[in-house]
Amino acid sequence: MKEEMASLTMKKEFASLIKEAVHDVFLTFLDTEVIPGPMIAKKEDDTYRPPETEVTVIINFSGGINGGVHLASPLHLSLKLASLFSGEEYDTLLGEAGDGFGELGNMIAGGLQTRLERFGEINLTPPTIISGTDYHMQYKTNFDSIKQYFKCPEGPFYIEFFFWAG
Amino acid sequence: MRVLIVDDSSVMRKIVARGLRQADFQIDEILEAGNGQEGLDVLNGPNGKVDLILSDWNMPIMDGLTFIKNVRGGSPDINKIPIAMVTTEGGESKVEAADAAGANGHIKKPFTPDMLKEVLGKFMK
Repeated sequence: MKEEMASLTMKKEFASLIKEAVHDVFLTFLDTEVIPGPMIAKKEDDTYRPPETEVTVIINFSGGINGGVHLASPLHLSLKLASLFSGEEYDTLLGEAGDGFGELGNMIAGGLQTRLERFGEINLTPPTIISGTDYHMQYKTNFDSIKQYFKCPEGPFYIEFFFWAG
Repeated sequence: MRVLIVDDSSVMRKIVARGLRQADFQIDEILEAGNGQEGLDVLNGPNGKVDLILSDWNMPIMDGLTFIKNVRGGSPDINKIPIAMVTTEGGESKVEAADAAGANGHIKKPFTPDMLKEVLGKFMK
């Protein structure tokens, strides 16, 4: 199973499941168009610099899959998506806007969790938000990851799915 | 019909309330609580008569599972109220635990108005 998870075929399937989960949440709760972009598959210690993002929601997985999901976007987009999600206007991520953006990540992670049930029961942690740009995120060396990029009318974002691949 | 939404996220309470309206349920009033203890306080208060409870699982102070157990062990005025879990905790063991505690339905996030109709329709007048 671990070798299977690290294969490019499986990563493409993960990317497809992420696209489905994102599409469902955007269609149901945000009523805005979302267009998938490229998928980047890499070992986390490979050199690659993604487009700058300012807000990252982290939801960790344990159980059937160990790893998690990141939802990352520029600040203006996180505020806009939180506004579309709750129906309120925000100019700061502190307070309810952060809760809203975190819940958006939680819903996407939940959609992915449902689609990965064949790997066994997966538990999710509550969302955590990191704001800022000047940091480096590091996984265990035996974790693998993919990033799936998206674009909506308000701006770009990506979903990263990282997982223990043995 | 009166519905109590128990969730520590005010955004999520708004989204669940919006989902109920989009599902065309006839809702007279929606009450809100930020955790299980607040939910019990609402139910046991003077304005606490509700027809349906929707509860999250992971909440501070009192989580959804403990909340269900307290409602089912509560006074005759509240212990028969239908309770549906609205949560990302959709694993089999979690569903079984919630059912054993007395949950009547499960709605997995992300949900759609149609999913709300399907799960909650039997409880709605």
